[in-house]
Amino acid sequence: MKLNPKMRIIALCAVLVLVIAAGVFILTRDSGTPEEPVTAENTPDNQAGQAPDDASQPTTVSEPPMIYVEEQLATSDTWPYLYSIYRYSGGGAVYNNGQMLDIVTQDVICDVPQEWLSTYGADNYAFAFDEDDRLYLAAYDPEQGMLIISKDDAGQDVLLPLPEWVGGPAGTEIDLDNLTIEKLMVDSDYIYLLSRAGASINLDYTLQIFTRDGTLHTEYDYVVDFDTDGEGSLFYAQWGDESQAIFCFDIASDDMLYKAWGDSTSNMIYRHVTVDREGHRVYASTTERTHVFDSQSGDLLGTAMEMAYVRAELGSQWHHMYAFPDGGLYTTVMERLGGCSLYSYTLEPDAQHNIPYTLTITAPYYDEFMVQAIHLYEMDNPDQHILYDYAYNSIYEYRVNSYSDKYFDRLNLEILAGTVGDIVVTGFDNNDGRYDPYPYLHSDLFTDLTDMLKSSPLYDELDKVALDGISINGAVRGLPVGSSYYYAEVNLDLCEQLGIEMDWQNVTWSDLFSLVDLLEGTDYVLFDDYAESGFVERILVSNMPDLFDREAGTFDLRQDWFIDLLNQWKNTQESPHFTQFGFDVAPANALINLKGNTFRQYDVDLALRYVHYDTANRLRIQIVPMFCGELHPNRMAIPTDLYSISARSEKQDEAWDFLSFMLSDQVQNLYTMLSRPLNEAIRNTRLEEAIQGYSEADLPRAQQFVQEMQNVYASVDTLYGMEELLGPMGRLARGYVYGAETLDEALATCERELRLIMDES
Amino acid sequence: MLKQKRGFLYILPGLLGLGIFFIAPFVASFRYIFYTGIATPEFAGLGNFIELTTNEAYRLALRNTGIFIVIGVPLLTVSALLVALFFRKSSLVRQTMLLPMIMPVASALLGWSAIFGPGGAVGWLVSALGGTAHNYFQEPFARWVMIFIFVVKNLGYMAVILAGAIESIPKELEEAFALDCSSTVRYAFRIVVPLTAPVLFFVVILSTVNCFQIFREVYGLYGSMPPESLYMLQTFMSNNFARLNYNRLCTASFIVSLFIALIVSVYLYVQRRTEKGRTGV
Repeated sequence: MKLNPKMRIIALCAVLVLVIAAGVFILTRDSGTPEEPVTAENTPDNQAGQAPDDASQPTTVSEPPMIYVEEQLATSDTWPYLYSIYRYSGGGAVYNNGQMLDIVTQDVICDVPQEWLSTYGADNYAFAFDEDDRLYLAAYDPEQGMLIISKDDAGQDVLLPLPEWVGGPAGTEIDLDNLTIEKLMVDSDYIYLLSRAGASINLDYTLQIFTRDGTLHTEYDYVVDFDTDGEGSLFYAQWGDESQAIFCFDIASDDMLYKAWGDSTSNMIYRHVTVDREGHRVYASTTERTHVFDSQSGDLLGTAMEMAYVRAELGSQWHHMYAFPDGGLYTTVMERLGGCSLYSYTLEPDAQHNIPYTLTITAPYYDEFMVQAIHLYEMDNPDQHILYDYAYNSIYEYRVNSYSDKYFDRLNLEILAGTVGDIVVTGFDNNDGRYDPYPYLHSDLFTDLTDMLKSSPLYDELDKVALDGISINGAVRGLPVGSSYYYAEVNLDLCEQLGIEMDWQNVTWSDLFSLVDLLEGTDYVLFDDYAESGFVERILVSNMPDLFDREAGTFDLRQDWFIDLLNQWKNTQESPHFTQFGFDVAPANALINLKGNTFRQYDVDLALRYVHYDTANRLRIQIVPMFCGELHPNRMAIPTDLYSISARSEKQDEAWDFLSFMLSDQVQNLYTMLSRPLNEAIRNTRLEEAIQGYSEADLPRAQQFVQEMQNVYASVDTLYGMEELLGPMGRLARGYVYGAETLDEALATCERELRLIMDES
Repeated sequence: MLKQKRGFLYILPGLLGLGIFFIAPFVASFRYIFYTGIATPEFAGLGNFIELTTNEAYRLALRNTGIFIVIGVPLLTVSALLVALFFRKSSLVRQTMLLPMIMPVASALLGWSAIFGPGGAVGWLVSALGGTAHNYFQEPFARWVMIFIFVVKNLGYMAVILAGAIESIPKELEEAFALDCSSTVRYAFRIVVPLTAPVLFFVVILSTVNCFQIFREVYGLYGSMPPESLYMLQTFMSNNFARLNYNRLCTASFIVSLFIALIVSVYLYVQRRTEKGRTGV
C-alpha cells in the first residue's frame, strides 16, 4: 500500500519519536549505582536472589548483606583446642581443655578419652559424634593404618580399620609430615572422612565415605569441606574450575542432585560448607563472604555475611563453621597471633541502610580494606553512610580491563565535570607500572591536605618521609594511607666466599656492575633470574629524579654520569656473570635477588620466608633497601593506598574526617591492609607481631628481619615512580643497552618523546 | 514563508542537539580559556594563549597539522576530481567508492597493518625487488603512509560529491571541448574546475575538517605517542585531556575552531561572490 506524502510524513515522525524514546529509556535506566538512598523499604532483608534456570550457570549476587555482630566466646593457645566444630544432637561442639563443650552454652557434653590421643594419631586426628552422641576419633597408626576409634557400652575401645583409606592399608609407607585428617563425620549408615596422605598441597584432600563396617562406599577428590543434611544428602565444595559451586549428592546412590553456583564475579574459592539442617539451608564461605543456598533446590538465597563488614581477620582464618536456623553462625578461628578461638555471629538490622549516602568514594576496584574501613567508620559514626563506588569487582578485573575500557579517560571526564566522588582513590596497587598519579596530584582538582594534616593529632606518628615524598610544589594532594616497598636480598654466603664487603645501604648500581669482574671464572652471577623489564625499571627509577625536574618541565639525559652508567650497564650485561635465567636457576648462585617487594604480601609471610630461607635454599640473606642512584639515593615506594579529596566536593570536612579516620590505629592495623601503614608506630607494631611465636632458635633471625625491613621503610625518599616517563626511558635502555641502536640514536628518540611529555604536562 | 517555517521545524531537533551538545559546551569552555586552574580558577587574560604559543609540543602539533593539510587536502581534491571524471560512467566504481569511509577504523587498520606494517605486503614487495623492507608506520615514512590512508579513505566520498557537480555541467560544453581537445585532464582543469569551483571549495573545506578526523587512525596505530611527524593537534589535545590540563586543551580547541570558522567564512564569501558574478545579484 503506497502512502500519500502526508501519511508518509506522519509515519516517519512516529518512527523518529520511537527512536528518541528508546534512546532516552536506554540512557536513563538504572545502571546499578544507586541514585537514591538505600532504605529498609526498598532493600528487604534476606531478599532472595533469582535462581538461574540452569543451575550449572554461575550467578551474580547483588542484594545488600546482613550485618553480623561478632562475639568471642572462648580462646585458647593450646593446640588443637577450639580448632574444629563437631556436629552433635544438640547442635555444635568444640574440643577445649580435654572436654567437648556445647558451642552456645559452653556446657560439657563429654570428656575426651585422653588415652586415645596419647595412643593414636599424635597431633593429627579428628573427632565426630554420631546421632546417639557417641564420640569417635579418626587417627592414623603406623602399624594399624587409618583407624576409627570409639568406645562400646562397656567403655572398651572399638577400633575400626579403614584398609581402603586414601593412604592405603596398614603397612603402607606414607609421608607422615603431610598426613592430614581434616574432618570426620559419622552417622548411622556411613563414616565420612576428609583427609590426605602425601603431597603437600591442598589439592590432594579426598573425601571418602565408608559404610559402618569400614568398606569404601564412594570417594570425591579435591574436596575442601563438606557436610550432610542428615536426610541422605551430601554437600561439598572442591578445588578447581568449579570452586565457586556447591555440589549436592545423594549419598546412597552417589547421584549428583545439583550443582549450585555462587558469585561468578569473584575468583574466590568456597573454603567452608555447613548445613543448617532445620532451616534447610547450606552456608558456603569464601574468604570474602558467606553465601546461603536452599539445601533442597540449590537456589542461591543471598549473601549472609560480608567478611569485611565484621572484622579484620575473618575469612582466611576461619576453620569450621556451624549455622543455626535463625541465621546465627558459629566459627572456630585460627587467630593471627596464634591459638584458636570460638566466635558467634548474630544478625543485626543494618541501621545504616535507612540513611541517605553522606559521602562517596570513587575507586578503580573493590578493596576489602576500604570496605572494612568504611564499616568501622559507620559504626563509629552512625549518622554517616558512605557509598563505595568502584568500577571493577577486583584488582584482577581492573588490570585486565581498565586500559581497554578507557577507564582513566572516563575518570578524567568525571573529575573535570565535578561528578566524581568526594574522595577519589588516586593511588593503588600499580605493580604493572602503567598508572602515574602525578597528573592528578599536580592539578588543583584535588584539595591540598597539608594544613589538615598538620592540625591532625596523629600527625607526629605519620611517616614524614612518605608525606614529603608525595608533595608537589609543597602541596600534599593525596594521602598515602599505605605504601608498598621494593627491596633487594643479598647472598651473604657468596659475599663471604668472594670477599665482598660493601656498605649495602649506599651501594649504587654502578658499584654493583663493577662486581661482575669479581665473578669472572666462577659459576656465579650478579643478579638472580630477574625479568628484564623490571630490572631496567629498577635502575632507571633510581636515577630519574636526577635527570628530570618535572615541576620545571626540564630534563637532561646527556649528563656525563648517566652516559657513563649506560655504557657500564651495556658492557656489563653482556657478561655471562650478569644474570641467570630459566628453570634451573639456583638462588645460591646469585649475589643479589631483586624480586623483593611488599606488594600484596603480609609481613608474617615475608618473615617466614626470610627466617627459613637458609634452610630452604641453603644460603643466608640480608634484606637491603633498593640500590641508590648515581647522585642521590632516590629510593621509591608506591603509594598503593592513596586517597584525595575532590576540590569541588561540598563535603570537605566530612571527607577529611573519614581520611583522618583512615590514619587511626584501628584502621592502620587492619589485617586487610596489604600496604605498609603511613602510621610509623603501627607499621613497626605489625612487623613485631609478624615474628611472634618463633622458637628461641629462630627468634634472632626473625628480629633481624624486622630491623632490615624497618631500614627499608626508613630509606625511601620519594613516592613517585615517574611511570609516564619510564616508557621512553625504558625504550632508551632497551634500544642502546640491550639493542643495536647507537647511543645518539637512542637518546635522540627518547628526548623527542620526553620533550613532548614534559611539554604536555 | 510557510515552507521556510516548516523547514525550520524539520531541522529544529538537530539544531537543539547541536546547541546542547556542541555550542553550549563550547561557550562554557570560554571560562577555562581565560582562566588558569579548574577548581580554583584565577583570571589569566590571554595568558593561556601566550603559554600555548610558546609550548613546543603545541608548535610541533600545529606544524604537523599544517603540513598534513597542505599536502593531504590538495592531493585528495585533485585525486577525487580525476576519479570522478574517469570513473563517472562505471557504476561498479561508484558503488564501491564509499566503502573505505564506512568501514570501521579498527578493521581498516588491520588491513593497513598487513600492507604497511612489519612483514607487510609493501615490505615484501620491496624486498622482492632487492630493497630493504621497513616498518612503514615508523619514521621517516609515517607521515606519507598516513596521508595515503587519508586520501584512500576520503577519496570515494569526495569523488561522489564532485561527480554530482560534474553531472550538472551542460553536456554541450563537454562536447564542445572534445572537439578541440581529447585530454580529460585538460578538460578537468579548464572546464570542470571553473564551473564547479563552489563545490570544489566545499570539498576542500570538508577535506580540511576530515584531516582532523585522521586522529582515529593515528590513535589506533600509535596510541598517545605517535611518531614525531604525526604528532598533530588532536593528539596534543587528547594528551592534555589525559593530564587534566583542561585550560590548555580548551585554548587549543578554541584556536582550531577559530581556524575552521575562518576557512568556512572564506568559503561562504567566495561562494557569494561567485553567485554574484554569475547572476549579477
